[in-house]
Amino acid sequence: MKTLFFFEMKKIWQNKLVWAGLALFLLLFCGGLSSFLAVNVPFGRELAARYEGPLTDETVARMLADFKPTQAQLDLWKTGVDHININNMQSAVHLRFANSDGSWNGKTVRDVFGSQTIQVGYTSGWLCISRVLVRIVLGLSVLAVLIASTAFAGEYGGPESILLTAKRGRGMAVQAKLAAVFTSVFALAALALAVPLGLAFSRMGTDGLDASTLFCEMEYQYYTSRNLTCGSLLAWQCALILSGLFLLTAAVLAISAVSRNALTAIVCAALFLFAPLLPSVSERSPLFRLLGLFPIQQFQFSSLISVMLTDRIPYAALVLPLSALLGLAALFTARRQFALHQVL
Amino acid sequence: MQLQIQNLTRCYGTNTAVDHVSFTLTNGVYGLLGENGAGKSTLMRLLCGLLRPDTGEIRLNGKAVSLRGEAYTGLLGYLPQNFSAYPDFTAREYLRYAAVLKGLDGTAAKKAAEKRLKKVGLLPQANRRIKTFSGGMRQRLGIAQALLNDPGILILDEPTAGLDPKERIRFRNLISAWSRESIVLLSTHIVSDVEFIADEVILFRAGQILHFGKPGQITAVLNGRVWECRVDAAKADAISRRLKVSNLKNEDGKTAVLRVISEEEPLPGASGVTPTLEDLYLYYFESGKTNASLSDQTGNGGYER
Repeated sequence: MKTLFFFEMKKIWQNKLVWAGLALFLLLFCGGLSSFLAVNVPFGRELAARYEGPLTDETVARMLADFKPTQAQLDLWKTGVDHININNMQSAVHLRFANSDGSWNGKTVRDVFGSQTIQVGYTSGWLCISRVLVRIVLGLSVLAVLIASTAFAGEYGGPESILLTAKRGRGMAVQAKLAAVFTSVFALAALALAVPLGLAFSRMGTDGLDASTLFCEMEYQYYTSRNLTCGSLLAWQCALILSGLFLLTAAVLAISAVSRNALTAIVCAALFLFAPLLPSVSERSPLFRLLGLFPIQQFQFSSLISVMLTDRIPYAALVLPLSALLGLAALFTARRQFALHQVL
Repeated sequence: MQLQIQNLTRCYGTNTAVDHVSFTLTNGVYGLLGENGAGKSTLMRLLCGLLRPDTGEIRLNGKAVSLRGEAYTGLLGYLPQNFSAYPDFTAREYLRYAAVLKGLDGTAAKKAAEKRLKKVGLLPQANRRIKTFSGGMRQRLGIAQALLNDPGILILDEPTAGLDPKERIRFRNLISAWSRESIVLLSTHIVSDVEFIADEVILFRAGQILHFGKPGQITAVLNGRVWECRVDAAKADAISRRLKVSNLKNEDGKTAVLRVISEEEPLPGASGVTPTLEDLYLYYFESGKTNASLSDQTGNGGYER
């Protein structure tokens, strides 16, 4: 099994298409990290530390007083510039509690957020890293498609004759193939998650992990509509990334096993990945729950944690086990289809 | 060991590639001869389990091979018609991989790979990537992989394609030695290969067996129908168009010797000669029709050795 696994890994990493996918992934990976490194974290953390704690009307008043706009800013706003993001806290408070001249708009914390408890803290860095992860995982998903779609279909049209007539060709060799594909994809996923998150923790420590994602600067105001802490937002995101990758890899393996050749498999797998983005479906529509199962929706996780299953449980909680089940069914199909493959 | 093929049929749409074929193979070399599209490759794929038959079954020592699973595939060695390996693997890597696939482990796989590399003369090129190999070298690699597990049933589809004469001789010797304890079925267009090494010949046409027997036996049906005549070289072409000529050889530029297949003496002075497999092949596959009177098929299309 070890030897077969080694050779299957070799086949994957000798594929030029996989290297092209890896290049795309690394481009998005490095681009994402550099955008995170551009964030002025120490300044943001220091500022957030001044107002840490539950958001109250008193905190709002203090912030509005501290971040009174200068005449230069007001002049800019008058010329049509909606908002100048002077700093993360100013942006967060002005967005919800200020008029265009920077004066209090008369709304209380209860008016804006209802009965929810809003924890003030440093959110910008965590939300930035979350957005970076979305981009990186998009690159990773393309790479996963290229790795998995050629796993079986790449054998068709020649080498499969030897595989399927060999003693271990329909059993252990298939297991080795699946293991090699999943190892490749999930090793890259570990890299894609560990490096940005590791960098984030090294720059921000745990500051802001308990802060509410709703009290964030303007850039992230539509990022999520639920009151979550940055920590739970990232935990949901990581879980959905992993479940989406499992489902994507398993489904693409099944597509690969039933396709006639590698090109057909790649095209079908790409459609499987991206087609769920095409229909414009509201999060309230029942159809969204179906679309939400697709990997691409799991990678763009925010809708799945905003749509609720019950008062307290998001739809994402159902998506995780369903993805695992669908993924296992796809793996079963892939194995079976390859074993039944006929060389015409 | 006995491999029984019973009433095997396989269709592609409306085209019947293998049509109710039955025969039995025991240890020895069997040459499968037939024109392109006769169904030879389909028959071989059916025997290897790469295709499922529409009807019929294959039995090994009385038990259906579909029930034997790995016990059957463990006995198989197969060289497909268009053998293709992983271009970025070296020959050594590929054979080690194939050996593990065939059930050998660790040192045994390495030893088997080295032994076969030596046997097919690829040892000096063992560390070269397969994509740099010539057609003949790839074919030798294909033969090597087919032999890795010391197969009890060796199925070779066009094994000598692309081999130079020296390699073909080496291959024939290898197969002859192999056949003592195993069943070897090989298909080829090169009739001389079959003539040299096959214990029995299966003449295959339109998915059915026309003849099955020892080369001497099956060519006997052409006794008295193969002639050699000496003609004026200038007239040889015209005569060739009129008669079924299996060979034309120019002698000294003035005279040509024609080998003619004909029911009657084709030209005055023609002398009868012993028919060969090539004559038989030409008789069936150049005529465009089956000569039922010459066929020794049994009524149900079944052959027993």
